[in-house]
Amino acid sequence: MGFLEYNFISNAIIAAFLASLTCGIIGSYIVAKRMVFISGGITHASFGGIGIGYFLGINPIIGAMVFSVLSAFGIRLISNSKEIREDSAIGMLWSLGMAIGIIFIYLTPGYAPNLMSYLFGSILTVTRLDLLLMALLAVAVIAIFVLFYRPILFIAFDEEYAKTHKMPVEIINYLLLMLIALVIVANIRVAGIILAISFLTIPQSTANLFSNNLKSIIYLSMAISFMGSLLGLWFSYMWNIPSGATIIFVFVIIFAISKGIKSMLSKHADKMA
Amino acid sequence: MRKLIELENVWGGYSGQTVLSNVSLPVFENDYIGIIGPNGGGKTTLIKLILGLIKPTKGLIHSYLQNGETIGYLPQQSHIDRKFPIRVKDIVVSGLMSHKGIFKRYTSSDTEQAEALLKQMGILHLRNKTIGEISGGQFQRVLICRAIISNPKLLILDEPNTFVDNKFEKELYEALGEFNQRMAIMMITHDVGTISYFVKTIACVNNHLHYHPSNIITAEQLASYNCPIQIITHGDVPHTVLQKHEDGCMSHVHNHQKH
Repeated sequence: MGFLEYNFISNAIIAAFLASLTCGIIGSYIVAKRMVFISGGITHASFGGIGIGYFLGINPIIGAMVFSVLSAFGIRLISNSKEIREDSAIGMLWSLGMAIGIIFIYLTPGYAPNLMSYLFGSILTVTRLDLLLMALLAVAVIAIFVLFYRPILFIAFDEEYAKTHKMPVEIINYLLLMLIALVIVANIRVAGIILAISFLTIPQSTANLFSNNLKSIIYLSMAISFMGSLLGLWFSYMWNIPSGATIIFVFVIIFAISKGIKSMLSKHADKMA
Repeated sequence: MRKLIELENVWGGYSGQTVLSNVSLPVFENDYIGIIGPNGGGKTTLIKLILGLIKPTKGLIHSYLQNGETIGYLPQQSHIDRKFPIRVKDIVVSGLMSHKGIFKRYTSSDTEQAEALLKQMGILHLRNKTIGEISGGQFQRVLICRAIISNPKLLILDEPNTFVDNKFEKELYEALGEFNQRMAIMMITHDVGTISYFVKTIACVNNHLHYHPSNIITAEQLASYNCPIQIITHGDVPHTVLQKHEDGCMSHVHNHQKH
């Protein structure tokens, strides 16, 4: 016992819960639409916003939110223009964002911030403000997906067809890019820049093993990421190892076990057939 | 006869490259137009212009469709991600997008309507499958259901006979003939011989558009020609006669009367 008695542990559990909600939804969309690489780019580019935030003396997370939304839109605009290919545009913004972050943090006078917590996350030090931001974002993401689930699904499945039906495809795409960027930044506190993409891909890929329906993938990946986060937190507390990295280990182990179960099941089904 | 769409001296293409020049074409409410022509000749560009997916570089496209009247579209399968997590019945329901817009809710009667169409196509049992689990031919039927669920005024099909077997192809053309009672149809195809039997008019697209209005190839028209390029017979399907245009595009199609 004792695990749940610490205030930072209960904050961490709330953070894990909120991250599981937003990442369950947005991550399933990212995986379905094959946007993992662009999401990785947005995650790393957001470091530029953290650096600028420090330099200007504003909350680095706010800086990161503005910066990551702008870089997400930037990637989309550049690749829409067809002058530069999308993956090259992502590669450029990915490293440019990191470079801007490093330069501005270097230029900031005084105490150098704890970069490690932004790079690798520190779910155990989330503040009430972080939790409030994550909760607001969770409400917004859930509301948008409840209200517009079908249009979002149909546009993601076949953009061209949606255009022939006069759907506001570009507006929806930009709205979702914005949500992706915001969810990523909210998760930097939990998993860090380098590890954030795992919350958006591993539970979803695990869910995808068992279901091919976007809605069930969303629910299943929410459950998997919350369970995985709790287990990861517990192991990191037991063995005194970094929480973000431990959670990701647990995610991958859950994925591996699920994959094993699935191939056993399908072999069994083959035998029966 | 009511006019649905009219292209007036339209030029179109991609990134500065002109694929279609000076195309004029009226589409009437019970037209059944077969679109033929060589690859790269601009067949797909023509339908993308009509669908509003690309803007003409020159010329005008008039739409006389009223509010709530839609265009159904069967795209080529190649641009669709077959691993996308979506169920068959949801794909069919997505054909109602223009009726629903962003804000209207989808109801259980929409799903029932989708299931009725899937039943007609003989694939109701696949309704909860995802597209990764079904064959190309089955997926083609799903996309046809999506194209017609909104009961469109104009149905545009881009090579509907790819991926389908002979049996379904025959059923497909029969179904299209029935749809044509209530909607205009434009169909791109490579199978020139077969379509000439079913369609009413032929548009040959090879940078320019050569249109052969219905009075030339009505089934009543009994004429015998030489068949220098291609004769395709499927049982009682009549001879198809194709002659060469100056620009090398096959165009004139004449039907013998069905015996």
